[in-house]
Amino acid sequence: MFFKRFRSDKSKAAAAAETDAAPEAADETPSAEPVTAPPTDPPEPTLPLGAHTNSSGLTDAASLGFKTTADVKAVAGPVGQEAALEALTFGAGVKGPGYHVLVVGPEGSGRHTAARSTLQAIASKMERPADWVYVSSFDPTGGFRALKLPAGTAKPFAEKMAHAIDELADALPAAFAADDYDLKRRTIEEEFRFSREDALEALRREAETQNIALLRTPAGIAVAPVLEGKVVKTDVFNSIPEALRREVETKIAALEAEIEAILAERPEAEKERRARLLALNEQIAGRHVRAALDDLKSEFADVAGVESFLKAAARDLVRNAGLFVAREDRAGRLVQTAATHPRFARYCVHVMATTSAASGAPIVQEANPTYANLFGRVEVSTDAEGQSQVVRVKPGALHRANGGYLVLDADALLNSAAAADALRRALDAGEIRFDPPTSPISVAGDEVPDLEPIPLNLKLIVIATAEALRRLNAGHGSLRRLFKAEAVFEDAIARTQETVDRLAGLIANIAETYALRPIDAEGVALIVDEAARRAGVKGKLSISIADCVDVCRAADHIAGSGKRDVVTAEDIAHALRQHSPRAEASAAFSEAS
Amino acid sequence: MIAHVAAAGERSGRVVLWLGGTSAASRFAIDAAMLMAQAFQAEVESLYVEDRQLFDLADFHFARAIGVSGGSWRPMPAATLEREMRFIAAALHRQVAEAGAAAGVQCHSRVVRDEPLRALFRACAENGPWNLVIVGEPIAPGDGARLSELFEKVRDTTGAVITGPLASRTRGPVVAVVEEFERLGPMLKAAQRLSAAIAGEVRLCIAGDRRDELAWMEGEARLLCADAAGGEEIASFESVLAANDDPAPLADVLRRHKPGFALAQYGGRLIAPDASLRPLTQALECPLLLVR
Repeated sequence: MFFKRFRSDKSKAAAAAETDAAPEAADETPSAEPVTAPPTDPPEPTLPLGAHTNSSGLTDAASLGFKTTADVKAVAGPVGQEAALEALTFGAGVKGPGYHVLVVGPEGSGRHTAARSTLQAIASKMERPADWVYVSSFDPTGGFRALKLPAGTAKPFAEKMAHAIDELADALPAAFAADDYDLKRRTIEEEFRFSREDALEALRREAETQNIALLRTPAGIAVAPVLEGKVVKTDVFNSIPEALRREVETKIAALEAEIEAILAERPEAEKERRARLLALNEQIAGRHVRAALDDLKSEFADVAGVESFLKAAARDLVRNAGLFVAREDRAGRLVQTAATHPRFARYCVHVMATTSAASGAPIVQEANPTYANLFGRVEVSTDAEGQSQVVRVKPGALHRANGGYLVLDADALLNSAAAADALRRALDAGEIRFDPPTSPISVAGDEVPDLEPIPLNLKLIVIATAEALRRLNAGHGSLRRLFKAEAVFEDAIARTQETVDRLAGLIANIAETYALRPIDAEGVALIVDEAARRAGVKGKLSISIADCVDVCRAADHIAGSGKRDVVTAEDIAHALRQHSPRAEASAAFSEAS
Repeated sequence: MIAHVAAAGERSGRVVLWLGGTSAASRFAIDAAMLMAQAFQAEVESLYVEDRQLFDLADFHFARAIGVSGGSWRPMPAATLEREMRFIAAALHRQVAEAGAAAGVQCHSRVVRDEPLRALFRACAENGPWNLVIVGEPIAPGDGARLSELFEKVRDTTGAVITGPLASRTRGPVVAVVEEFERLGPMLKAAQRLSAAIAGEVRLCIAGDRRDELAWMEGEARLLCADAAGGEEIASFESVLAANDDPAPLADVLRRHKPGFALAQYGGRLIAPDASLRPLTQALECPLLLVR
């Protein structure tokens, strides 16, 4: 660790800074542990040597060539890691699938920053990838089709579809409430509803002429002999000649046969009535559905798959126009558009990948690469009837990074074994297939919907420490084999004039980035000395950018407390002392484990 | 007359829900009975009539019945008939009692074995001072003669409420279609009381066969409404030309206003006795109070 070695390699400058700054620090942080008195011994002559050193082997501030970092050109990124950067640039630049990059190095060595800036430079020159959306397949499986859209058009496409649904939510109820529809519907209803009654009424009149009546019973219809409008009593009926009685019975039997025939026609007539009403509904709804989808259709006419989707959606909309006409919660409409109502979820366009106009290829960094975060998530809602339906398909990092770069931390990935395995399969197959690991025991309704796989073409950049690399090699051979390029960030770099100058530039960059006070040359020299001590080897520097940032920010705070405009070596020394106990504890923990 | 119903201070009467011998009672007819009872602080008596003639028929060896949805003819012994009627009556009375409890209306039920119209006549004659008949079964186009017979034989009713096969609502405006000036006041009052019960506005429609007569009646109606201190405002006035025996204007009014309840005169130019009820059944989606 950076500060682990600092205690045994105290420099003169640090000692002087410590002596001067100690009382002030004690005032500011009374609970802080007393700072060990700096040694007055001269530094060991064998440590550290290299560019910008004086006779004592320490960094010569005067030779750095500036008064404060305000005079230095800021330098971003790691220092002295040219080989790693070259490998990273090469690996990231190789076109085509299957060429993934492993970035290895100690924490704080600037791997992430270097990877980000390198990828940004390459990605900005790359072509924007196509957008992807999921739309309902409108088939009985309830699955989803993947549609490939021109770059940047997925969101407008989804918005226009939602707008069309909103339009229909207003237009269809109005259309079905309109008088002309009402009249047409009534005409059909009347025609069929009363055709049977008309036939029975005609039969009733005919029967009346023969002194026979059609009576309504609790469960149906009966036929009775009548006289002067009243059912004949049996004794009266039995008193008439037998021939006449037989004649009446024959007439009754004939009427019964006719009634039976009339009633038997009902199922057929009912079927026809339903068909005609359906045709009418489709005629009315179809007109509005076509109008609502016209814009989308013409705008995306050239995009493969869109026309067939819109056709299927139109068919479904017409068939389910009742969804729009059903009694709706007006209060609900105030806070959400119709398109976002779960009832219309199947018409929703789920944007899985899109890019903005100014961007090139996407660079996506996923800090928590779980299955859901990589492959996306499906949100299901259950309606009042207990039917479950997909209300949202949320993209994962793979969708967002498709056509560009996905940056993952090796430790985080290896900690999620299922996700790592699924990622390897996806990269091998070249497609994003939604198949989340599920429990063997499930309940009805929680089935995973069928999502059409989306072609996958991205470059995976995994950032690892040496320890993570060992884990990767040991337990994830098939995943390890995916990495064709390795960018290795060294623990220690050669101390040359150039690397010292670049370190000064890096410190200037930190001051600029975090809006810190300028750091004077003596302060920078002190940091360089610390880097040399961290390396523990002659002529080397070990630079932890993260630690540099921490020290510079702490020193800036100390300088501010002392109302100084410039961060001095004393401030840096003070900050290093504040930083060291933590670093030591951490180092001790690492060693113990 | 409907005036009996509408007059303030009148001793309350009854709403007679006339349930024939079948199970085809309309839910909207039951709702209409409750609304009328609420509007006029009346009670509901549901009268289920076991049609005596069916028992006379059941005595014949050839007596058979067939279901309205088809099937085959089945023998119709008196015992079966009686049991079926008892169950249907019980179910209907329970339905009425539940609706009454929900509406806060007191309900009584009665089962009689008689001829349907005579049973109704007797029920209305027993009590007064006024009765309103709610016809439980939806009317069919061919029920003109039956309706005419009802108004002719059941003299002790101020009107009858009918529902059609397309009944679908009891909420919305109350539309009163008035043909004669002398009925304007009572019908208007009845409409206003109904409108309070169903929380809908009153729309007045005046029907006549001459424009000058219509204009005069509308003017009088406006004056009458303006004079009615404390009375509810009339949401709209409308005049329609209607020839004699022409139900089309009434059907048109029902279609356009989509009322929750409607009032019209029976035996006038719009609904003539014995006329086919087809135009009405094609447009009627709410209960219609027909006044003499």
